[in-house]
Amino acid sequence: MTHTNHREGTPESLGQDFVVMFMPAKGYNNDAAVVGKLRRALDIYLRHRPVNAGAIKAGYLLADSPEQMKRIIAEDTPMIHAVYTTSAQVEAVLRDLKEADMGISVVVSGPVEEVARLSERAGIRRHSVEFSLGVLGRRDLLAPAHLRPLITMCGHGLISRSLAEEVLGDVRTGRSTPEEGARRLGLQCVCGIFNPERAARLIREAVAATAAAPASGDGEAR
Amino acid sequence: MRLDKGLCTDCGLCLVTCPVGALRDDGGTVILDLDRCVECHACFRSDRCPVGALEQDELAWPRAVRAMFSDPFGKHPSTQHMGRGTEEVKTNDVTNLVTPGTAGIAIEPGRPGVGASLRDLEKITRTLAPLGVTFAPKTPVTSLMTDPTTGALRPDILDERVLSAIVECTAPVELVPAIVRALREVAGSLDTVMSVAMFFAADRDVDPDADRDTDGLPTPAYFAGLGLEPSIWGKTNMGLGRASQGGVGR
Repeated sequence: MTHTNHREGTPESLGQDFVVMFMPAKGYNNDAAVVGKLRRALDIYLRHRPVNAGAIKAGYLLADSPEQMKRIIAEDTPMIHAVYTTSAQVEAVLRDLKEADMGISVVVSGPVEEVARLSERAGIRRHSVEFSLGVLGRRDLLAPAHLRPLITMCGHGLISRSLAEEVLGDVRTGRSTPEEGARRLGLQCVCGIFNPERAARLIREAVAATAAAPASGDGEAR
Repeated sequence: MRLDKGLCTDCGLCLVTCPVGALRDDGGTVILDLDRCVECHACFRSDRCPVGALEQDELAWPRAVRAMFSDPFGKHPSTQHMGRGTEEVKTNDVTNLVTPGTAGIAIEPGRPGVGASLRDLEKITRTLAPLGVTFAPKTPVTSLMTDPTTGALRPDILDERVLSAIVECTAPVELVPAIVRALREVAGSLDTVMSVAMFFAADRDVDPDADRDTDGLPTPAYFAGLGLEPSIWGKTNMGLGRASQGGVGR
């Protein structure tokens, strides 16, 4: 699954968004020790203050406690993720995961060149890279450009453009704060890969921009 | 999904939860367009309905394929993973699915936020197959193929819709330009969008140039030369994995 790929936004905004994944390879290293390793990875994640973390079916930090997540992690938990806002945090997580030497694949989604630099600082040589190469086809069907950085933070596509619009409207009219709006969007993303800090910033910027002039971009016609 | 109109009060609170606009207001009445619904269950999980009128119902084949691809809690028989994709680059350091000289390709119709028919998915698989790609085995999309040499999907699912589906394949790097050309061509016939991704293994034996960086990985200039619009975003496998003796379920 490419659920952490294809995030949209400006380089500055994407530079505050990193997702770390810890994933056993089915048939290769998902042995009896894997549950303990997944829990240990979560402990390492938490030491470095992620803004979100989670695993499908085991829960996510925006809605569940780490203790609850640890209890539910099981042999069929496919992977565990955490979201950070700085490259220094990710570098520290990588150092700890490298030192823990659990033999499980670790992947970082984020700006490729920044991730290359931080992995080098952590003493890690990249094995392979998946590149996000754009969108082809009927771009007129896409959500407006100011919504896409928000909705593409859930790679499973569970955050609707209507909900993002509603959140922006509520913030614009003072019915909720950007942080409350970001949390509402993040609750839709059940893997725990949504970045609520970046989202709050994006909401604040979008509201400020639309106060000045209507936003424009692909997909306005839909 | 099922909307129980005996309970529904047409308050409209659920409307914004649907990523594909299947829940809509039809002159003051809330309706669920089952043709449009992709069975992602986002409306149900959001718990927005104050009277519990949204219900998850048992899905028969072929409608069940919608939930398999659209609901991240759906476990695919082909992968035994929850979600619509596979391990691809994430465990490439262990599986060596893609090695130097090979490209991993992931084409995802419907993403971001549009949804796709499986008929459009088949247009893509049928475009890629004759080019000599190898469809990744044990993936949700490959498991729907009746003939991987043509990219044909089983006919009974073609009228179904999903939030997105990922065509995963590998090909020699030399084929990448032809694959990109073919994708750009088929894109014009789709009633949706498709997100494009490719992954490569580092190759430190090659000399860096405009197209390859110091780890032997493609540069943005390489992709731009193919007519693609590379994002700065991507997924980097750190090479910390290794096989153990006790892996199960390959």
